[in-house]
Amino acid sequence: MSDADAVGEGRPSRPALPSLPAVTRTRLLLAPLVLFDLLAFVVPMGYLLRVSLSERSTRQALVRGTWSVDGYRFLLESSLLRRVFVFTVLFAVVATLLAVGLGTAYAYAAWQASGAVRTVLLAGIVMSMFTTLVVKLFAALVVFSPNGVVNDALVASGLVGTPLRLINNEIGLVIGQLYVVLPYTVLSVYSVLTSLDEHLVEAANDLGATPARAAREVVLPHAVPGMAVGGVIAFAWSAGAFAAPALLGSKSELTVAVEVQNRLTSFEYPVAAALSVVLTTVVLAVLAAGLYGLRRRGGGHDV
Amino acid sequence: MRSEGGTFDERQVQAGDHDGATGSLGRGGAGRVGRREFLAAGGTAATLAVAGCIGGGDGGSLTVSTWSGANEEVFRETIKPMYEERTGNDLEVVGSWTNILGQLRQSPSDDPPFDLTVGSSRDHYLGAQDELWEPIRYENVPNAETIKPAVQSNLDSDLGVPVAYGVMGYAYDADAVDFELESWRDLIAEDVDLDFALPGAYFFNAVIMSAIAADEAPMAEEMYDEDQRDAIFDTLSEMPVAKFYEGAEDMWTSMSGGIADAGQYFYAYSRRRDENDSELNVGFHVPDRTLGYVDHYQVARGSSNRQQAEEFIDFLLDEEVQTAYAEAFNLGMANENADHPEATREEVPIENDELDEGIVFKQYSRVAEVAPDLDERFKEFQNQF
Repeated sequence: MSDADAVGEGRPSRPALPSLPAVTRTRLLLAPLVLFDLLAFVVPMGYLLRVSLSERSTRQALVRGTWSVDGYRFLLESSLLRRVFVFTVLFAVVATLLAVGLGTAYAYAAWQASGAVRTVLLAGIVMSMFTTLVVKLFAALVVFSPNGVVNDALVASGLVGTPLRLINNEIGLVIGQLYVVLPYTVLSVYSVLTSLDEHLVEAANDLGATPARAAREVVLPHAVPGMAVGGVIAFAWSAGAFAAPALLGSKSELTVAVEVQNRLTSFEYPVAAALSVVLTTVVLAVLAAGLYGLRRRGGGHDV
Repeated sequence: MRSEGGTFDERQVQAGDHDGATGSLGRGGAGRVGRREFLAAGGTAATLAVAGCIGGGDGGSLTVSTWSGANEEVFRETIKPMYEERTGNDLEVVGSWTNILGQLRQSPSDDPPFDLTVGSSRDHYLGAQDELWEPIRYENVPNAETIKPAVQSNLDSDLGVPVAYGVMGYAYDADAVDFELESWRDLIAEDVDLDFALPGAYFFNAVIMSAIAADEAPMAEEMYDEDQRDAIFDTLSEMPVAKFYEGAEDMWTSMSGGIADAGQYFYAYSRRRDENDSELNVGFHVPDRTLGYVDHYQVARGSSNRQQAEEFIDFLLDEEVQTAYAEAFNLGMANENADHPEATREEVPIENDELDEGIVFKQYSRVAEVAPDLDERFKEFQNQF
């Protein structure tokens, strides 16, 4: 029964809800999200920050109630941790460049393909995303190990005399990380390419551009926002890489995330927390710089 | 449950009296109760009554945390049935490896996730600093008197009881390696062609092994002497290390994948792995003088089953239980009267004097103050290896 009916029947109508100002309504609608963010991100990060500012101790993992910058001082003083940080950032940059380069090429190939070929190319990427990270990396371990199928094939074909070392070193680490991040860069770029009007490429060709030049001057600029998003994802994942270094790298390829785990098992909670805080800050700073660069370039609105 | 089952010792008494008491009562029939039957019945009743009084805890289920994997399996398959049959109590076995202290720290002070737990010497030390262990009341652990002195002396606290010990040897791919290392020092011999894997998660095992190989001081005392630590790392750098592994699977995968063809590992766990895995032709050997570890059991702070937990430790130290444990898993047992299978006796020192001469047991309390420095140096070493 509507309010009009109620009035018609002589019964009092429900009092109308007071109309809230638009700003208040927006705030009320945002409140659950803000609360979720507070509980899920801000509070844990705040606790992490607090732990990082606790005293180090050889007797306890965490001396509660103490305040100290020992953890951060240790980061500055430890040559090992400095090396780990530098290595992690370099590794993240290399993995990102490779992921964006290979991802763009793959996405372009998928975009150019049609019918079954396109389906197979995209299904390969999507299926990879559906596979658990550890399973994927164990598969890589088996495939690229000295006794694995890749080396078996290389040795059998006579291309190499003895198996190549493709895991337990930097090569293995990068291969493993590409297994992890490549699907994201491919899909980021592909999603942008699908919005490109193919007639623009045809027009470029009609105007005398070679296919390579058309790709470079028409397709590539259009793909930049997708490459940026893919790059941001690849960098964030790679800077925090844990599974690939742990499974396919060696102790010479320590990343910050692996070192955090090491410090936790050594019961050095303040150092582990300080490492995490600094890594998070570095990743956020790089992402902010990337977004700023994109905005200045004029592409920020697409990201 | 508790009043039915009683304590382990009481159950032993009951088992010993069983035939006479029950048999007599059965034969006596209804109506006539003789003096002996009356006394026997009275004894049984008294035993049950005492069981109810001194049983401790809430008389229900006891939860023990032990090393996950092979040791947990042995607890489930061997220890649990024996315990439940003897006492009538329920035993819940949970497995854990690296997060024992974390679980306890995160739990309410009067509601730990388990009543007692196994722990390494490091877990024991750090847990003691955080007051995570209840002191052991040895009057509830009479079998502690049977513990070998060399094992008992590993722990200089009354917060834990040694139950078993193991040694580190090495597992190898028997299809790739056709020789045995008589001592850890053989690893630095020039003619040893080996890709060796070492545990990399923490410094203890690799550093003690290297100290034994360096042989600069008796019983790896180099580790406790700052002036002699360089010798340890010099020796380590001469070893044919191909891989610093993070965990068991990492080592086995390295061996099956061809990264390493041998690796330092727990002898008992290697044997167990070999029994369950036919893919890799695994050999294992324990060099003459090696490093070892003791599995201590500690009662978790705030456990409502403190007495039952202490009695469980006593049960674990019982000669028959120790022998069954040794049969199921190739560890050395703390009880000096326990029997060990041939495969264990071949590789693991059993007698007390053999332990004194053949095993360097890890003692975290002796290196606790310098452990971060040693670990840092070990990590540096691995990173630049």
